[in-house]
Amino acid sequence: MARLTINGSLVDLDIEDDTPLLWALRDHAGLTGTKYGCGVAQCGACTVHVDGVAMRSCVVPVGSIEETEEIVTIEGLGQGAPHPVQQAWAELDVAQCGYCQAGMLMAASALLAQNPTPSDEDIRAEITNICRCGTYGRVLAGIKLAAERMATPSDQG
Amino acid sequence: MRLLPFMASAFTLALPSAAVTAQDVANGARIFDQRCATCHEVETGESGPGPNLAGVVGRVAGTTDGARYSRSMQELGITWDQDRLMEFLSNPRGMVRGTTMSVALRDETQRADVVAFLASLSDPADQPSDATN
Repeated sequence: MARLTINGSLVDLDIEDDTPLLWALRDHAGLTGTKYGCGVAQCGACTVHVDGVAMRSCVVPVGSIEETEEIVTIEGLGQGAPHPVQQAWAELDVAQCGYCQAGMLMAASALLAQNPTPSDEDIRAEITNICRCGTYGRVLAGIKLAAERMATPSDQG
Repeated sequence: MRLLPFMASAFTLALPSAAVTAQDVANGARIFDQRCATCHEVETGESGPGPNLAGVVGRVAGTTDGARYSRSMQELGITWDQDRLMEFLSNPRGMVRGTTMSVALRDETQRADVVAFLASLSDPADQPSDATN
């Protein structure tokens, strides 16, 4: 049994302790926004936040997560209104097929929470998610636009 | 859980810092399971994507037999102690440019607990041999 706090709700899942969080989210909690890309923490499609830290959920055993640690998935990003990264992604048409983008958005939002003014080098070093469609240039632009917006809050959304 | 045999032997070793408690080591073991265990073994002596970390405290960086290292790590030339591990784990690429180790533990408490856990591990060189003489 695993008791997890996901997007603000406490849920009980009837799963073994060594079940990776990705499968807990997708197959047991019904949250399929987080994607499976490789299963070995190399692609980042499975990225979620645990207490604000971006983690690759395909390799995090649920038994290692305490119920006080807050898990946020793509479904929970942007409470009530789109997160600035989601807004920037929409404006700049960052996604192509979209499969990697939930992971990209989770990695990007975690980066900006930890470093609100990342340089291009910082972004390239920290965002290591793989995109088969090659949206990397637009991902970089999206993060920079979101960072700009977050630095100067206005009455927009 | 599978880490218990190592933890049991840990408490016969002197824990270096007065502030480290058994609870810290236990929390460190949990964080290790969450963030590190997918690449780093601490029991069997084998290395996977990352080097086996049993006995890493006190070991020269980049020298575990059978482990894969970046050139940067192989050429680092330091001996891991708790302070250096704390620095490394806060931002691996900041300390060792070119390292393939990508997981950072930014939370200082979590980082300290993991280092306490690593310090509690027995060095495989100190383990009694299985060979019958």
